[in-house]
Parts: sequence; C-alpha cells; structure tokens
Amino acid sequence: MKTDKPHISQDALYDTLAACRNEWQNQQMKTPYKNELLLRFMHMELKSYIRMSFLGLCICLAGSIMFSNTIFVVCGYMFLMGSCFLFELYRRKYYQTQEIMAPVYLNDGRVLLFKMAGIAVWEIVEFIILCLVLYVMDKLALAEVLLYGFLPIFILQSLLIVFMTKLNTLYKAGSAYVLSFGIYVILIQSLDVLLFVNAIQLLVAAVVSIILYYLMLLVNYRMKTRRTILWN
Amino acid sequence: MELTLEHVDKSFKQIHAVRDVTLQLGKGVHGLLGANGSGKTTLMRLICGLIPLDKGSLHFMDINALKQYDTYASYLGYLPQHFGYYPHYSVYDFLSYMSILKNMSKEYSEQRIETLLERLNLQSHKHKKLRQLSGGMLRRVGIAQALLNEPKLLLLDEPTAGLDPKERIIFRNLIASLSQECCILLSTHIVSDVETIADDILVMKEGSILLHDTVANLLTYMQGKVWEMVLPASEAIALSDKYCIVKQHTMQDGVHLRFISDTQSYPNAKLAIPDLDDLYLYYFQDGETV
Repeated sequence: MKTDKPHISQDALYDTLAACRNEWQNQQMKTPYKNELLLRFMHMELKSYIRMSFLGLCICLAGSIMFSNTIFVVCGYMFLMGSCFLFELYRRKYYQTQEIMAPVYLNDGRVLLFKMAGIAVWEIVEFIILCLVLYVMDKLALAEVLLYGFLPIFILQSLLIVFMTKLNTLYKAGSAYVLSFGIYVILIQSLDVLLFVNAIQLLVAAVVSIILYYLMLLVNYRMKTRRTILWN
Repeated sequence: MELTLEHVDKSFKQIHAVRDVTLQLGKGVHGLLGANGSGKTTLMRLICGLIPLDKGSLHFMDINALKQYDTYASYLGYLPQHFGYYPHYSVYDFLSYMSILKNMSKEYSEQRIETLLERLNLQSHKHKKLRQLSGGMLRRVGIAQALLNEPKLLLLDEPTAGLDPKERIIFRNLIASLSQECCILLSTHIVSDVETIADDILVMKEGSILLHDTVANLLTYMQGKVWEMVLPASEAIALSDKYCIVKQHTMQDGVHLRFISDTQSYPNAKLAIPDLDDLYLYYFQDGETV
C-alpha cells in the first residue's frame, strides 16, 4: 500500500537539530548586544567623547546664559555635533580608511548615530552632576533651561540607535539626525513646555526612565539566557 | 557557498569600467588577472557594495547583496588596494576597532584577534603602533582585519603589493590554507601570485571577463605559441620589434629569447612549455592580438 508520508531518518533529524543548535550558538556567541557595542566603541575613543560632551555641555550652558533663545542654542548645538561628525569623515578621508571601513556593520551612517549616542550618554551624566551642583548652589533656574532645552535632545540622540537597522546609510542617518532636531525645535516652539512641566519632576522622570531602561535590558538578558538554557 | 554576478555593469561618466559581467564562483581561490585600468578594482568594489551597480544583480549564498546588505557584509572580508589605517593605534587596538565595526562580540573578537596574530606572526608586535610597522607587517595587519569575522567571501585587491619574496610566500601559503573554508577572489597583476594557488583564473580586459578557466585549461590556449631560441645580439634586436618577447637573457653564446608567435618563424626556434606569464603577455601585449 502506498503512503504519502515521507520517510525521514531519526538520525538525520538529530544531526540537523545538532547542526542548527551549533549554528545558533555560534551566532549568539559572535553577535553582541547593541549596548555592549556602544560601550566598547565609547571605550575605544573615550578621550574624544568626554572632550566633545564637555564642550557640548559648556556651549549649551554658555548659550543659555548669554542668549535667552533656546532654539538658537539648540541649533548651535546641532551644528557642533554635526561638525564633530564631519571631522570624523575628514579623519577617515585623511587616513584613507573609508574603503576598509565601508563594507562593515557600523558604516559611516551608523558611526554617526553611535558617536551621537556616545556623546549624549556622557552629556546626560555630566548634566545630572551639574544639576546636583546647581541645586546645592541654589541656582536651579539655570538647570531648568538646560533641562527643558537639552536633556530631551541628549535622550533623543541616544535613542536614535534603536532605529539603527533601518538607518543603514550615511544619508538616512544624517536625515534622521537633522529631522529629529527639527521636530524637537518645532515642538518646543509650538508647545510652551515651561508652563506645564516642573523641572524637578522632569529630572526625576528622566532618572526613573534610565533606571527602567536598564531594568528592561536586564530582564531581556535574563530571558535570553533562559531561552538558551531551554534550547539546550 | 557561491557568489553569483549576473549582467553586472558599471560606468563612470564616459568610462565603461565593467561591462556585462556574469560569473559564478564557488569555494576556493579565484585569481583575477588584468592590466592596470582593466576594471579589476571596480569589480572588487562592486562586489563589496562600495559602489552601486548600474545594472545587474549580486548574490552570495542566495543572499541578495543589494537588499540584505547587513547579512551579506557579515560574510564579507575585504582588503583594499590602498590600505588606510590610524597610525596612532596599536595593532591590537586597530583590530579591536575593526571588530567593533564588524559587529563582533568582545569574547569572540578577542579570541579571533589572538588566533590571527599567532597565525600571521604578529604576536610580538601587537602593542606596536601601526606607524612603526614595515610595509609587509602592515599588509599582514590588513589581512588580519579582513579575516577577523571568519569571512565566507574574501576579497583581496592586490594584496602582495609591497611584500618581499619571503612575505609573499607566507601570504600564498596562508591563502592556500583558507581555500577550503571560503570563496577567495584575489585580484592582481602579478602572475606568480596566483599561478600556484588559484583553482581558476579570470582574465579581465577593458571591463569584461575575457577568459575564465582553470590554469591548466588556460595554458592549453597557449600550446604551440611559445618559442625559445638563441640568437646573436644583432639579430635579437630585430626580433624584439616583430614579436612579443617574454624573456631575454644575454649569455656568452648569444641572447636567449623566449617569445610568442602563432607559427614557427625561425627554424632553430624550439617549442616551450607555456606558463601564465606567456598567457598574460599574449593578451596584454601592446600590439594587442585579441
């Protein structure tokens, strides 16, 4: 009697399963988390990141003291970050490394996002320290301007790497960078944030968000480890 | 594991750099031979995705390189003709930096860097700044960065430029040892680089693939076309105007000549066993025969 069931050897199935498991484990071992990659990238060029973030924050601070126009200072900051990236492109051209560093995952566009995120992480740390100092010195008004004007931008800069898979060319990354700044400038102009947001509340919200973000990463890591154990 | 190019075409303004190239390359070493300006580097850069194709398609292991570039790039290792580097980085730092750009995890990259430093004999130089290294060592660092992610497709554009004979031999042995693991496309105009290690040779001229075959098969085209003889110095000068001279060596008994001719032009000329130098000169001599 004819049967439609294909005959599959049990041994071959186990071999396939073992091969899949090996391949999956290899891939797991080879590919890092985005955060790990960012931290290693920051570590490689630590001096430059700290220098740039300090310079960025100083410019924000000086701009906020000298000009009352937040948008003006935000645009100045955006150009500073843009010029930092243009310097990176120039460096690659000067040392002729564009070709060797082009057919890779972190291409020019993604390096832009990583650099911005790296600088922003340092800026957030510096900003929180600065706020504490200003709080002790009882000059919270200045901290408020920075809080409304720049903390969202720092967070925005670091959040852009979430969309890194889609932003895979210099053109797309650059557009996303300019667009995010543009949207922020329009929002801050159309909404009078100062009227309904309290600076201390916003700072607490920012700190809580960062803690939550890292808790989520931790949960995700544990789940992944558990899945690995289950799979094996 | 197969690289497939179909009707690939590329022009730069008025220069048609790559013309309708269709080829399939499997596992092993594939030598890409051609004169300067024949389109080798452009073809390599197209395969790398550094410049967009005007026409055609590019697949590797059924991955469409144009649509799934991230996946494609993860299988790719590339050593360009001009290897740029940051001189203030040490060998280890540079390889670590490249491993970050290639999206490799820390443990995996550390393990790979150590393996490659050992394999390429760079272990004792790993903390040296790149600006302190010789040309040969820099090339080895370049090869190490190309091999970091255990590529399945390795593209080497004139990798032996600037290497001394010993380093060339080490390099050849290294490439030969990798031939069972991946598909290697090695572009060069130094025939001896590919003669012994390449499974097949692609000859490129004016942007097109002129020949694509194994070394043995390619040399059969040259059977009966390579001749050797000894002539007095005065006659040798006249011969060099008429034929493509491959080798010329003046000795006490006269000038020993190896030349290419479709027919036996001199009664004392003896047929010689052809090699890739003869083939190369046959296709790329000034007074082109093809």
